[in-house]
Amino acid sequence: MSNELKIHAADATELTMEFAGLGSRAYAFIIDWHIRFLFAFVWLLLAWLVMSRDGGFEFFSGFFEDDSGLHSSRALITLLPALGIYFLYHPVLETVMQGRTPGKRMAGVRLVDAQGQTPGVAALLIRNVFRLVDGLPAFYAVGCVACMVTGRSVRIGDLAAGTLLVHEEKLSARALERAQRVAGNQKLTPADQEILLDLVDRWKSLDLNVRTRLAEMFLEKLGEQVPVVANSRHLNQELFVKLQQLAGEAVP
Amino acid sequence: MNGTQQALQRWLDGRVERWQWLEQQCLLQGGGRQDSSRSSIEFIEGFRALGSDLSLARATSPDSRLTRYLAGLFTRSYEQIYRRPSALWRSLKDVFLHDAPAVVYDIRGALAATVSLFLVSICCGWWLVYSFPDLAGLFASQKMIDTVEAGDLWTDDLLNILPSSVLALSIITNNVAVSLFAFVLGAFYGIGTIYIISLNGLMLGGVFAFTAHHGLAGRLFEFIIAHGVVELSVICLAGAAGIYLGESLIRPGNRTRVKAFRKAVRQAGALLLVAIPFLVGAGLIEGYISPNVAFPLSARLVVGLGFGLVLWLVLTRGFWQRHAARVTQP
Repeated sequence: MSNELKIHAADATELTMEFAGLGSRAYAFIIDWHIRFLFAFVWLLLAWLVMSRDGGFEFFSGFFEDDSGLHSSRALITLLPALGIYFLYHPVLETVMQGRTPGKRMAGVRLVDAQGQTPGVAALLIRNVFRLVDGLPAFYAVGCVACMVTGRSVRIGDLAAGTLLVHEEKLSARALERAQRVAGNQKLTPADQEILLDLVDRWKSLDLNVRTRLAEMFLEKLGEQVPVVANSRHLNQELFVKLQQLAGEAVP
Repeated sequence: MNGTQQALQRWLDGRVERWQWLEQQCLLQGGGRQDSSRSSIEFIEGFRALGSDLSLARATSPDSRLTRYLAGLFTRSYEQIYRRPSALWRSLKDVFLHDAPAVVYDIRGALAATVSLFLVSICCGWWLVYSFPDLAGLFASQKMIDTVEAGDLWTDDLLNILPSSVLALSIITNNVAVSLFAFVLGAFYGIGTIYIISLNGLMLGGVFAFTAHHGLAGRLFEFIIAHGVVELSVICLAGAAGIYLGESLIRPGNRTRVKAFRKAVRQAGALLLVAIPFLVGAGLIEGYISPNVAFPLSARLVVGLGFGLVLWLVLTRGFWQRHAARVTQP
């Protein structure tokens, strides 16, 4: 089965979206879990700080001691929002952020339906209710197995709701400006332009020797003069400046 | 600069502004801003032009950043143009007034089976514990057993342990979890649902038999009646929904299993959406009225039966609507 969702729009255009696998899904979930846990924890901590004027931890034991209206309302104010944050995080954010959560955004994925649209509220609710099944018996084992054996890498909740997790292509407007600048360089073919921009972007993450060799090879291929500098660090700096100039970027 | 490069540069220079405008519009429309029909038409025209640009970019440089940028922008624009209109409140009203009652009618067979299973389990639980009192330990904790053997109910001093609000919250959380589990475990061909319903029935019957053995069944009934009608009804409804899911997998009819399952989930989900607010109400009653000795049995009966009546009136509209439709048919 293809790992892409293909949608044929009414105006004869075709859209493709790549399905996200178990790795992206797990990455997004772990980020989201930390966020909701931290928010719920911080809320409990703040409630304790604000309402514990009677003194420290006695506040928490205090509201279990009697049923006075004060203690009862304190308990609700403390517990209800924390539970709400923890349990409603996914359905609420997925609805408000159109199939995304902060974790999904960071993982570069989003939820869509079979038509490539943001799923409706009902589908998002169903998807989240079925976490109870996907989470069985522990650590989302059922969900992980379902992701591994289904062609579109979906868990039971997605099967039930008709939702799909896809990669979201979202290059910034800056990427467009850079593509526009580099396109003006007559020495570069479209393939060279891609290599150049990749090399500039990944420059700092590459090993010193590797990036030097790659830059030299690239400049030689273009017939550009490779700087001759004895010190390897200075050479590296010179090469980077040269690449930035070719990409039409401002050199500091 | 050669000819191709010049053409590419000119093409890019001529399009960039329009793409940036489209991007801005996606942000505005995504934020729910209502625009004039004129700007909407401009947006649609921009989207069509973007489609041509994307095709051209894919043909000349398929994996380039520019193509990826245009593909992303195209997807976002597509979503804004083809998104469904939001009608959340109208949909909710439809679910309460039409969808859920219609589902109750459709799953009446599964509902009858679930209620029967629940009643049989209650009877089994009762028989087991009444015949072999030592088996009470299967359904009640040692603390509960000690309290009942001392002539008291474990519910007598609930409010001395927890305030009503915390009690209600924990009961609501527990009941909602049980109902949702009874529903979603239907995904295992209904077996999970049968387990949950049987277990709850056995527990209820066993605990009642144990209290009856010590002459406390009447007091337990007094405690349960205010919230029990709705609570047990919703658990049976959730169970019926779960059985319906299982049936859709076992007998998908002329659909594929996935499609039949998805349809059953949608239908049964509407039923639970209506039933769960009643469960919240039952939890509040259990937290504030049931453990409070100030409420006499008569008041508890009125609250419990009245609340249950409202639930069943809402959910059996489907039967009255179909009956009315049959009567008015020529």
